[in-house]
Amino acid sequence: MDLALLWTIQLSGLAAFLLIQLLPRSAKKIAPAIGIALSFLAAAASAKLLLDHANGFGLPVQFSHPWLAVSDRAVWPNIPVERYALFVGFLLDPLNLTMITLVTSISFFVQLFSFYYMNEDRSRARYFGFLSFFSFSMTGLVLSNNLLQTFLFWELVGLTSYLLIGFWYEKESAATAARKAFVVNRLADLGFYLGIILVLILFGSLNFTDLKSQALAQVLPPATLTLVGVLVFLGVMGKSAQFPFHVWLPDAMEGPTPVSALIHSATMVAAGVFLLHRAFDLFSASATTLLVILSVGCLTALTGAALATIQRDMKRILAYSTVSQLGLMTMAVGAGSSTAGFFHLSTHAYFKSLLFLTSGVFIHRFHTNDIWEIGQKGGKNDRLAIGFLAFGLLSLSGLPPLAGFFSKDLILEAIKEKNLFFYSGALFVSFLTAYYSFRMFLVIARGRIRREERPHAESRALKISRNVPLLCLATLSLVAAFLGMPSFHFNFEMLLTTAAILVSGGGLAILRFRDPEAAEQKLLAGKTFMQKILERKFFIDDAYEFLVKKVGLAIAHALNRFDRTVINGLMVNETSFSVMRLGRLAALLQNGALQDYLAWAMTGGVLILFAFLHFYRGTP
Amino acid sequence: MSQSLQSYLVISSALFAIGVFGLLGRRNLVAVLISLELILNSASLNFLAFNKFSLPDKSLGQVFVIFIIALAAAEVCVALSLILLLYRKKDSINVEDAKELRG
Amino acid sequence: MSPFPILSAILLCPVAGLILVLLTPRKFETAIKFLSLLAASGTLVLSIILCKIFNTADPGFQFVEHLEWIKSYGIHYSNAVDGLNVSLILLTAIVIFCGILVSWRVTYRVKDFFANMLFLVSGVFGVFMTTNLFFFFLFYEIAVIPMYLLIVIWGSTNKQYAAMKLTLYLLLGSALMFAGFLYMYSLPEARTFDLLTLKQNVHFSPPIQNILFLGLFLGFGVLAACFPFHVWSPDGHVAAPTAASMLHAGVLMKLGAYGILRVAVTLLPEGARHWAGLIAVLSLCNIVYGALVATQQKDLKYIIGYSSVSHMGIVLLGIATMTTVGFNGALFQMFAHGIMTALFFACVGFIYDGCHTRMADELGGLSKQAPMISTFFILAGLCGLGLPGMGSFVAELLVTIAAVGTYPMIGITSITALLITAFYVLTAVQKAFYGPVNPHHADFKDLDWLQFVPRAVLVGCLIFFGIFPSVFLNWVSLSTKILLGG
Repeated sequence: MDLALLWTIQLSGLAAFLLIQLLPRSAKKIAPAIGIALSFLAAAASAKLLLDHANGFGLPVQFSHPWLAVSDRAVWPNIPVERYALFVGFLLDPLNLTMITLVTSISFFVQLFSFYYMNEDRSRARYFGFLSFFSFSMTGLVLSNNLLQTFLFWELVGLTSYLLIGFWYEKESAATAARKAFVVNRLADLGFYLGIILVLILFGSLNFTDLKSQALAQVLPPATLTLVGVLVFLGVMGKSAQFPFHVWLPDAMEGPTPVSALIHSATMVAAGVFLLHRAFDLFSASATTLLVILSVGCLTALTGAALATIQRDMKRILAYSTVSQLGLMTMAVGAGSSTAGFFHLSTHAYFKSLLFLTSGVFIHRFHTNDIWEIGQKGGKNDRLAIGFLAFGLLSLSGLPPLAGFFSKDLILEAIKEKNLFFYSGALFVSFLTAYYSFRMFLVIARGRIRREERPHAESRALKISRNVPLLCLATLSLVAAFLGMPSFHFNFEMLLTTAAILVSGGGLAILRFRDPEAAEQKLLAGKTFMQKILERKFFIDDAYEFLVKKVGLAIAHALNRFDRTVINGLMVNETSFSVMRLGRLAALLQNGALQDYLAWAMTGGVLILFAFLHFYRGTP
Repeated sequence: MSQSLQSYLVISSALFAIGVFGLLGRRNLVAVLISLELILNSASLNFLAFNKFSLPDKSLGQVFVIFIIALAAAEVCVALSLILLLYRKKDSINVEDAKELRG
Repeated sequence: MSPFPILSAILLCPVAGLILVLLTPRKFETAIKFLSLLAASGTLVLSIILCKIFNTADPGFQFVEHLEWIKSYGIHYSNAVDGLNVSLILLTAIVIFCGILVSWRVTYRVKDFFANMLFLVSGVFGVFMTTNLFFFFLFYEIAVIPMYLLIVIWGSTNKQYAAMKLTLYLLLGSALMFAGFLYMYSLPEARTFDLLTLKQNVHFSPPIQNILFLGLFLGFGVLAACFPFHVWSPDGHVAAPTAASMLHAGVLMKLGAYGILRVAVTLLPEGARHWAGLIAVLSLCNIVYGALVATQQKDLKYIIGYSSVSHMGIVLLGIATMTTVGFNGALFQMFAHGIMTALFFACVGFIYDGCHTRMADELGGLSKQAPMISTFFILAGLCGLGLPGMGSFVAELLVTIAAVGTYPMIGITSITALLITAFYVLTAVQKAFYGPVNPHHADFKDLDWLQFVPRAVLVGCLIFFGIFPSVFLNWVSLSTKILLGG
């Protein structure tokens, strides 16, 4: 029964993908219907599972099947052979039940919203196919019961992300951004891959239920534990856009906006944090690993928040905000409270996808990403969208009693207990968050309308597919906050601190952006030193470009020259040329003069005669 | 003196040496051909001499010599016709003008 | 009653096809094509049956056929399969089947083309199934000569040079290999070319093992495009016509690696252990160096050529680990790479026919007008960069596990190739298939159904073995265990 539900969740995405691929060209227009219907099926199945669980259905459920045997006595003489089989299987426990509900529900709402957003796009079938394939890969990642299977689907979500960022591949920038996302992720995944292989070789099992702190500490020395933890964390850094691998995420906004809402804010980029929580024992077994995680998270949160403060592109603000929030979640894990991190993940997923979909409404209507332009074209006239924007942004900046407040406070508390230095960093991040949220809202809502654009006439179905997801996501963010709260307690001091930060950050934004046009004029007039650094994104992209072009490709160029000149030229061609030259030298003897040949023959004959006489002298 | 083997051999060696010299040194193809005949004759002389001084059966060497004479006649026919063809083609019977066949 | 000689049947299918094609008058081109396809389908069906009835629980040779020919020299026509070659026979059958279909559009000297293809593939089958070293050499030479003709007559881009280079290299390799065979034959206790008798009767002393293994490794290494003897392969791939490239990169390069396992490692295990470190270093050069050089290539075929060098390095690295996991991975990689690279060349060949250029920069936007061929190319590329769910991923995983376990530094360094491969594959994809449509190629037509079939077959194989790798590993794992003496 339960397994049937799990299979439904797992395979509905794949089924939708295959069905859409098999549609004849004339029937491609029903592709959205297939995608939406099957994603609804998955969402309903996971809701059913959640209800079953609430009614006392026992978890965890595990199902495991051997996939591939790698036993080898020559490599690992001391460990029983049967341990080295790689398995595929499901592990369903309360943790990924939450995650799977989140993934399937957001996936359904985003597909519904896409019906509105991609209504005029000719390649809609391809779009819905990829989106369904993403759901399949993401559920596979979440339900997986071992590290290798996680890695498998980890790469597949990376692939769908690549395909969807590059969905409008005729645009050079989209194609480049897609490639960048894949390659940067691949770089980080090398660490993950190596980490998995090391765990397999040294520990012998990749199953999450076997990876427990004590078991790990028994087998592995502390230094190795740290190494393995950091290597696996590298993969997390790539997927969850942690510093310095965060560069791909803002560029990924080249993809369609609903894709950004689903993949690049709510689900896929959260997979890293999910993995941190999933295999927490692998990281918590070493204090050094946790410290690394904490520092990387802090750096990420600060970088993301700082860069979000100067962007003009609505989606990029949200992207940097996502980077910074992911940093906060990572910090929570590093501080030892992966529960807080995961809780923030679930609330953040809902309100961030809400924010992205809202930005999609603006972009779809005004055909621009620039917040100043949206303000001037009459962004504030779309009352509904402005309302959802305010709701999402206030959640993001942590206004009680909205979703972000609970989860962020939990994280702050956890970090405060651990380390005051990082606590101050986290507080500064909250301050910046409030600042850029208010800035974005003010610029859109208080813009002076100059060239208003009237909305297109929209059918009823389109309106529903636009508004229902927004409404549901907003509701779900609150539900997630109230139901998912690990342990509710009222901390007055914390409330006071966050309120102070919210007021100061918001106040500063109001001070500077209550008149957006004046602020823009001031911005154009002159840039401070800090602004210039922020606009160059702390030179991280430049550093990557230097590494790739000036180091990597230069080496490759030199090796290519080496291949062509030394190996192909000197070794291969020169060998054949010298054979030819030798032949030409020998051919000089063959000069065509008959009498020369005769002379040589005579000389040879005489020499042979002499030799004969010399050696056989004395014999009769 | 005149009845010893050595005297025959000296003469045939002299003939052979003159023939080789002509074969290698002369440029005129007819002269080369003549030199070749000299070498053949020196060989014939050797046959006759050895036949006379060492074998009881006096006719075997002479048979060979007759063979050689016949062969030499045939050879001269072929060689002269080749030289004639060469002359028609090149207007020359100089050996050094026929060097096309080389590496 | 003796059992049906399925191996000889597989070998005789292309031979019979060859004879029939030769007997058909030149002007019946369609008949020639159908005859070739019939022969290829025959081998494919028989190979699938062979894999189906292959007993995975038996580690030794199966379906043994033995026909005495020259008894006093120990030269016999004898065939057998075990885990090492059963997959390679299947690979050859799949590639020739797809190769014949892909060649449907050949118009120049059709009869000669298909005759050469069938001749070539007969030689390849012979090498893979024989257990007699003399026939190994003989069949190998049979495979080389048609390849020369295929490149010189139907090739492109500098074909005379490439064909001559390829042939000289392959003959150099085979000369070294034959010298080794003759030496083994010359030993007083041997006096036979039969592999099994050699293995049972002859015990080579360690110094002889070391020297002999090095010689054989160099000979086979040339065929497997081992660094620094790799330059023949990119040049050869580029010049060869589509189907020949498919066979060449897909199957011919595997002969070398197969020979190392079948002959060198089987007969000279001590020598193999002695030189394993050297092989590992050379294979690392292959992997990383090949990938780096591939980033600099402009011609799609050169990119694939150097990626083949890189991927063959993984095969060699797997062999160098001298573990069953490594051997399994190496064999898996041989199979997966064979299919993948055949798919690559099938796609590039089609694009070249339509656009008359293979330069990535001169294409552009092909996804828009030819979505199917682009999808196939991208799928091959994804397999090349080791995407999970594709055959190559499992192969690379196995080899990497073995390599990290035996040579940690080399294993770790070899992983970087995954990044470099992702970089050059995606760059090539972006240049050729993404971006605005290039007006020069506006009339480029996508695949028709006949051209769709072979590529779909190849993709299907890649995905099937990527998802169900144990099907493959069941074939090989017992035999590789025996190979290591356990």
